[in-house]
Amino acid sequence: MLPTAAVSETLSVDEFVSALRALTNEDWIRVGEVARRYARYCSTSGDDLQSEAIGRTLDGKRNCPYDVDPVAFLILTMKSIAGELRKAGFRTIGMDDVKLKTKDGNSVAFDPADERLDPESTLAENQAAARLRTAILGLFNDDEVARDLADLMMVELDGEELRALLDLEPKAFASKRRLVRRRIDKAFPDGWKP
Amino acid sequence: MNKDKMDPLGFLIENLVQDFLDMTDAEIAIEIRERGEDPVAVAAKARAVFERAVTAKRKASLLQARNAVDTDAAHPPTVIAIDGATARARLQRLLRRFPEAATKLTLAARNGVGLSDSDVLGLLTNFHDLGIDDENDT
Repeated sequence: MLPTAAVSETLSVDEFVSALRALTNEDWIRVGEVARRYARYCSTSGDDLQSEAIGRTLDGKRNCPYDVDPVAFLILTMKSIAGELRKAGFRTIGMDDVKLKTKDGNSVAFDPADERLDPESTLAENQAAARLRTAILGLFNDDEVARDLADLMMVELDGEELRALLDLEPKAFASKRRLVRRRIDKAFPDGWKP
Repeated sequence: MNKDKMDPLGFLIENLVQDFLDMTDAEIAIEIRERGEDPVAVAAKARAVFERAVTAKRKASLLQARNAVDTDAAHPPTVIAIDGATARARLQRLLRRFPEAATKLTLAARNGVGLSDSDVLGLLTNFHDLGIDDENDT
């Protein structure tokens, strides 16, 4: 049997556009609402973040696998870009255009592998994190369980770990997490300003 | 989000997003209405962002294609307008000057056999584009 040509594992740009054109209103609501939430992480707008995710896919910089739901793909892409933008915001100011001279006198761009924050930025970030925590926890002075959940949501734990730590039944956990989200959404509709 | 143990905002956002995605479509629509917005309008806004991105990409591609055409138009191909006999004589003189180029042609072609006038002019154009012209050219 002759070998067949390898089938592309990702959607072409045209296929991706067709897939998005086929999305329902409910799908677009999810995309837009998630964009708005991730945008809070990197101080941009939901529209810009969504547009960037779609744009990079149309440019071929990102590729939607055949077996992945386009909405899920867009959400993951937006999450990734938001993380990128936030990390870019951590870079030390003023170092972007620095050139180094090599031993033979050639100039090369400064491209540090070490992306750790400088001490001043670390201090600023720690202070901002403390202010965020105070602001968030202050929303739940009337509900100790919600307050504990909100506190734990700012630590690297997944849903099941959170539920187990708080010793809540799944339904009670879902209800409490919903309450926390809605209260935070209402208090900070446009994100946090450090 | 950043794989950084000290990223409370990132972890919080991820938890909030996950809770949102766990809702049903009906629950999401209710929440949107509760904050005074129309779910259809929210959907239309997100869809419009997508259509704008597609349009922007299409325009960028057209501009790129137009720039490529303009670049070609600014550098038109060389046209050598001489009769066939003159062209063949000129080619022979060039092939004698550049024997290494002659080796790339068949024996018959080196002697001008089997080459049409168009083929000969094409070869002269190639030489011209390389900066090589017949010394007897006027």
